[in-house]
Amino acid sequence: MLKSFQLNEYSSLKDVVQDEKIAQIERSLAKDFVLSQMSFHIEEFECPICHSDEHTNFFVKWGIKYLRCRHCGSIYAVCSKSFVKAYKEDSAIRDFRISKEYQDDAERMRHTNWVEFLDWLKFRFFRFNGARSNLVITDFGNRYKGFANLVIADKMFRKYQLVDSALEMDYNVKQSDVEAADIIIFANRIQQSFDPVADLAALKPILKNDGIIILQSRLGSGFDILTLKGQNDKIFPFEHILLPSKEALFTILDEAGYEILEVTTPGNLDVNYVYSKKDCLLDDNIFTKYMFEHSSPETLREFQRFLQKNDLSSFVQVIARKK
Amino acid sequence: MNNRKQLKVIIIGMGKMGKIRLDAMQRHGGFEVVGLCDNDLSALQNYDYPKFDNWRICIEETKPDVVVVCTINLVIPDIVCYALEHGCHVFSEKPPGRNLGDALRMRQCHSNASSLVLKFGFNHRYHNSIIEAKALIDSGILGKPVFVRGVYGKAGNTNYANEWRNNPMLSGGGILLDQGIHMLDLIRYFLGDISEVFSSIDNLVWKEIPTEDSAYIVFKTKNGEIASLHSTCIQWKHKFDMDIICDKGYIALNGILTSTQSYGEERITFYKKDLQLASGKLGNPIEYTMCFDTDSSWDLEIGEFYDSIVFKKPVLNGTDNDAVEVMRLIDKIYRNNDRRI
Repeated sequence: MLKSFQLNEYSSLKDVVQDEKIAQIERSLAKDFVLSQMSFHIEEFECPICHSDEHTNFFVKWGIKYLRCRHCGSIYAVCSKSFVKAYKEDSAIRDFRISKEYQDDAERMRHTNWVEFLDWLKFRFFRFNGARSNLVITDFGNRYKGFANLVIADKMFRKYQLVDSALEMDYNVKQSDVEAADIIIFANRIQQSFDPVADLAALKPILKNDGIIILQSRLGSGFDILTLKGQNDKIFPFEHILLPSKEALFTILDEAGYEILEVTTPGNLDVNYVYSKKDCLLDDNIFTKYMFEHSSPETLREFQRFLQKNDLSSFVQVIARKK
Repeated sequence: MNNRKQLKVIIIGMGKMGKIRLDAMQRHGGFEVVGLCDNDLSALQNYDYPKFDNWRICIEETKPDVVVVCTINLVIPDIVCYALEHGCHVFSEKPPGRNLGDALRMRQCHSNASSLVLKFGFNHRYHNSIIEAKALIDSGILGKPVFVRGVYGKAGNTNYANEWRNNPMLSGGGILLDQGIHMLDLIRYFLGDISEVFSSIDNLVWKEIPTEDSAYIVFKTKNGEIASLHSTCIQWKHKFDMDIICDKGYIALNGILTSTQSYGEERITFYKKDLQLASGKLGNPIEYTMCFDTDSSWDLEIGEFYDSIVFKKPVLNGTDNDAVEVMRLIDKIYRNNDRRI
């Protein structure tokens, strides 16, 4: 595995990637759905990654309990598969996400990030596979038309395959029908998985032997997740039911049969998220509270840089290939 | 269990580099050490392998598949050619001898034994930051490189004037040949072959040593790309910096990992040109930095050498042609400055 740390140096603290009004609607739709499903009790269960049944109560949001595994440090929600399946298929949430309002906001707020990500994707593919073109790329669960269009327009890619996405595009294809890919983008999928090892193992037949998988996830060992607990607006059921620790993510990939080529946590927003909630920080979290109340923007930017560099941001990016 | 085909290897010259190469081969697992050689036998006292103080006898008696040459520059060509003539694959430390004549001689010997592998230790190409820079350039994201600006500096030491490296009969040159050669090789790696050279080779501080303490060189390729290199032992600290300016962006390489970590953290920073101000600020584009805390260069280099022998893969870096071309440049620079040795 390439031991590297990636930092992104912005000239100021990076702003949010979603308009707050849009984020609120999305959260509120999710909350309505979750509350409508709360009619019966679910027993606590073991960690979906290391299967330990030793845990601590981490927080409760909208009636859904989140546990933190004592063994591997992952955070998981106590809920049923059927809830999450129904959440993914819920028409209110789905319709909002494919709406013009939602897509236009994403285009406005994320376009630069998408361009950067696409550059990064090419750079990393070249790094591990050498200069190639005519690539086949499979994108799981992408909800942004703007990003899909960027990939489609890029001459490096021969074929774009969109799997398990709400987007209505000509590129949608069932997982069983895809052509083996040079690159699989598996973003924000682990966070809704009950069996991440099986989900990742299922990708192996549709990934070329020298292909790479790009896995993005929120990490249960990341700064804003562990600091804000239930106060974190960005983490909510059933959008996030599993937040693996960095170490647990290694376990998942290993057990699923992947060799990790590179792990980085290039997140930009941990500090922003915590800063926006600094008044909610618990009084026993004295140092963090002090830092956020008294530090200059430059200091906080340096702190975000520290998180990026030391794999402590809650946004992780992994590059792996089949063993 | 190690199932790799075992290549019988001897190492000639067990100073610092010999030890580094031995460690890398042991980690690799595809090499069986059948002898170590050093003209100072005390350098071998901590090893359990057969010991020799005469390299010819070592080669003749052990009959190795591979000879690794980690000696002073003076004897490198003799050993390389002798080993090739005796049917051995050869890995040799840089520099490839003391001068262009040495490099040409070794290439000729290799052409007479072309089924054998000859590789020179231009090790920097295997450092993570260099690998990343090459991938970035190959990806085209930053466009085409048009300018390379390198500084490779050493601190010197109290015994510096007396080191064998500064005895031109043993070494063939000064800081440029000893250390600057790495950066010269990288300039060729990133820009291609050089057609013009302008240089100043000086003794700015160490006036008493016969070899240079400072080499300032400007290069031009036939396509018009420019490079500059300042190779010096009067930096008074260890320093490795290289800027690669491309027509659509920029790469900075700062620091290079060594066993002592005295050249600092190894990092690559890059950015795309941002004339549309996507970052929101003129002159301050979004930068990406990768830092590395592991030096796997020795392992990658020896791995490539092994693969080229066992799996007949081509030698990608450190070919005899790389050796000749880099020595041709150094020869030209020394001659232009009346430093012909």
